[in-house]
Amino acid sequence: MDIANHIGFRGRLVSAMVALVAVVSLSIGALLMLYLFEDEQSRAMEQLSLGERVAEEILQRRTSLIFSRLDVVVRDFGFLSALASRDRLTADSALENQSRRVGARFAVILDSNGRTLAAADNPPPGLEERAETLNLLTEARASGFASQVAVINDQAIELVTIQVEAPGLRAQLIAGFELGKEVADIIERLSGTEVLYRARTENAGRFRFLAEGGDMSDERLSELASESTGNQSTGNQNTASLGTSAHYFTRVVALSNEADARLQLLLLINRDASLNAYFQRAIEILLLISIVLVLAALIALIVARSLGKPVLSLAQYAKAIGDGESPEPPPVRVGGELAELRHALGDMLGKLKDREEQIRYAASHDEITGLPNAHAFLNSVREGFRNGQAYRLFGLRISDLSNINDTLGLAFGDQVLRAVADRLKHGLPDHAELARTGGGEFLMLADACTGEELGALANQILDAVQAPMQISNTPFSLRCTMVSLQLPEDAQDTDQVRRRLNLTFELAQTTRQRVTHYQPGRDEDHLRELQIISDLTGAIANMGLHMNYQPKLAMADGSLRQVEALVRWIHPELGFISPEEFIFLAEQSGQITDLTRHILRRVAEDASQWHASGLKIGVAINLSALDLARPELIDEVADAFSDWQLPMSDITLEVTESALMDDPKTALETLGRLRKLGVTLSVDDFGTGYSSLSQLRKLPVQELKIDKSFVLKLNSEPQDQLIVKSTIDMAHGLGLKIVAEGIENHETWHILKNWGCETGQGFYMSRPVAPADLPATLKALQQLRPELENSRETSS
Amino acid sequence: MLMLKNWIIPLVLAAFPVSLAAEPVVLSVRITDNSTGEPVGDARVIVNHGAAAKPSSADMVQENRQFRPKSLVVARGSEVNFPNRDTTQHHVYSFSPAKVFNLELFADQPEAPILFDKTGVVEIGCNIHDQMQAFILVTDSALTARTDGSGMATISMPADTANSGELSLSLWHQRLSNPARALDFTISFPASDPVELMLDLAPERKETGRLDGLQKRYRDL
Repeated sequence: MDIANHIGFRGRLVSAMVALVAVVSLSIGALLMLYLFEDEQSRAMEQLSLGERVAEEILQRRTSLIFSRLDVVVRDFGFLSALASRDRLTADSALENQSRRVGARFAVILDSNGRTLAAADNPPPGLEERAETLNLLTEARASGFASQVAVINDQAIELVTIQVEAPGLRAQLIAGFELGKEVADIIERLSGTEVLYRARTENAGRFRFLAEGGDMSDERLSELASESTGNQSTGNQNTASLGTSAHYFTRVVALSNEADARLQLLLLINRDASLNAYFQRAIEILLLISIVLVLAALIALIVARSLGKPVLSLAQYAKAIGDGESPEPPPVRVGGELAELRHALGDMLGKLKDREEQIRYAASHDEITGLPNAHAFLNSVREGFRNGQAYRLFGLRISDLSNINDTLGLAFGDQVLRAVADRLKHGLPDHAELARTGGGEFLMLADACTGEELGALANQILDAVQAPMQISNTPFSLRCTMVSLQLPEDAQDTDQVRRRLNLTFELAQTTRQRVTHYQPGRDEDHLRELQIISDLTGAIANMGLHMNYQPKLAMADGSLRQVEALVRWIHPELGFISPEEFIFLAEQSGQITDLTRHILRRVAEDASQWHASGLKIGVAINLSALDLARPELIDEVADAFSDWQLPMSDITLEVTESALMDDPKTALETLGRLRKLGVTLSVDDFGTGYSSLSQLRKLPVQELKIDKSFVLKLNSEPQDQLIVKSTIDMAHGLGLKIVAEGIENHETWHILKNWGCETGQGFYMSRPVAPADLPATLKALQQLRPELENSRETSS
Repeated sequence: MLMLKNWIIPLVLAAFPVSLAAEPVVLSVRITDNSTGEPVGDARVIVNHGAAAKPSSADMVQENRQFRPKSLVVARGSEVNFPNRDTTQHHVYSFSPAKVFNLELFADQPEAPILFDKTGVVEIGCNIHDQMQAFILVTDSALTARTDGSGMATISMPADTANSGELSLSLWHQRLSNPARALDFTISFPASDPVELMLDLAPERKETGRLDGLQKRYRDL
């Protein structure tokens, strides 16, 4: 199969044709040779049977001739007189004379008693006693004459007997006539076969050849001697057996009358000559077949070429089409299928182009509005960058398209989109490009403009879109967000364009301006945030975060109550990243869960070390608002502090005020369950959020942590003092304890102490420190303690 | 070999008075063909008895290229003339041991008759007309007869034969396998009924020449 594939169309055609011709011509040749062979044989057989007939006829004629002559002889009066003279010498000489006249080899005359009346030319001794002779005499007595062929002295002799019947003279003449070369020559001449005499003495013996065997080799003679011996049939005179030996076609004519035909005439046709002719013809036929094969191969090659060439050119044509070229169809001279194929390929090319056009259109256009899509638009933008031209890019988002789709149906939404596209087309300058880039978003590329011109254009567009419209008899108006970028100042490539467009749209959500312009640097911040988010996971896993602890002191005696765990991250590239930033981002990215779990574990580890070293210190940990939404948090806290050796109330979980407000129900549940663990719960940054005091009342918290913004300048700001004082009073009224953070000076400490604030925290006492530095910090606080206690006395 | 008894001429001479004087004795012979059972006519019966025959003269005429009669019985010493009544000449001859003679081409009457002085069958022919054939039986006996169409021959026997008890006969026919001699028989005599005798005869030759078969085949070719 591989080979078949390999040799290709031409090769296959050529080999198929050559094979076909070979099969046909070889079979014809073989048949011809077979016929020739059979013809040769049958011709030989015909010739042999002709020879046989000729031989028989000649022998019969010869016998008749002999009879005729002898008949005259035995009626010759002179001869009869000589015979009747009873003078033996006279009779012998007369017989001799007659015998020579008729050409007999010898002759004998016997009287009716079998006595020799005359003899001529030395008849073979014992002739009268031979079985053949006795037979002949009997037969001749009955019919007047008889003849038989016998082998006498290694010669074929035809013995002829004729009655001598003259008045008063009754005798029988036996004459012997040699069957020799002359007879054989005549038969050979007439029939074209070779003739040999052969004889055998007994039934089954081998044949001997009489007379000379011509120029035939002994070997051949021996081969012929055994020929057809087993093939004798009944002894019928006419039965001549036919044979084929390696070198001869033969036919046997029985000469003698015996059943076993001891004397035979062997007719031969030499096969050598005819075989040679046969082989000669075979070679000629083979030569002819070879020529025919070569011709067939040539013709097949020509045909294959004339077929293959256009096929190949069509194949190249098809390949060019496949490569997306638009080649000219190749000329195809042969008609029919190939021309049709060419036509079909041409058609295909046309349809291919149409379809390609459609696909390209579909790929670059929005199917609803028919406007270019994002891909096409970005290509235009890229083109603009390449040309170094300046543009103003506007983005417009229909704010509530999904609502329209949901409530009025997708078909209606599509109509809205088409209407907006229409309005934008009219609202834009003529050469501006417009594209729908997805959902309710349209992008426009107009000439660069700034200032009032920009504002005017933006307002024109917005007004056009937001003007009340009526679709399917439904009047309504749209709200849109519009942003703009100045290219290439605001973005240098299409990636930036896309990213900064999105950023600006996001920004627009918050700014609520009619048109939001991209603020340079926004994108860099965004990228930084992305990096922080992506690196935070690694930092959590690889202990890239550090824990710092800031002491929380009991204001009554300045003793250390707890330390607040604060997470710090020094990014290898970005340096110190404020906890507010990365915690906010972790909340955005969902990493806050991992972060909280990590912090809980770190704090628990650090604390267990302190406890081991004898420092019985409680800890405060900040929780994110998102943490409160997770029921698993409770288990995580329990797990992390399973080895906690102090009362559980020494663990304080700080929750921001706003976290409680977002989803108060879940937060309440979580807080309730945390409370059941025994931990102390604290409201962090109290005073900055929009806390509902009624809500606060329900919360299972034990502590309020006044935001440091009220505390930092407490000593000098009377308003802050008022807020703080009343907050403390309110908290106490609710049964809550107060923690103040951000204490930075001695005065503030004492003010708060006087107001009954239970716990204080701030730089005045101690900065947040690494765990390793905590013992030293504790010592320093120990030294500060008199001052903390002292001041109460001094200030009061 | 032909065994003819010496035929005694005086017997022949005495026969005539006996027939007159005493009651005649008659020999009846009936001859049939041994192979077919048909009665054989034209057979010659010769009684070998002492009665000698007197030499006489006879004619063997050649007419219409045939001898006439076909067979002739003559007493020894008889002379036979061969008158030629045809317009052609004839060359009559015989190589028979009983009489070899040769009458070369002649017309009318040969100069002299031929004397048959030995008993036996003399076969004669014409050298220029092969189909001409005749037989002359030379005998000493006077008691001869020829069978008629029914194969019967009757011979009046001399009286002295009446008590002989046995009788020697010679029979001849042209179609004997060897017509060159007569066949001898011995019969009881006298006999009241005709003596039945049988001969082996060759079938009559239809063809006129012995090579006809051969020649016919030639014509067929």
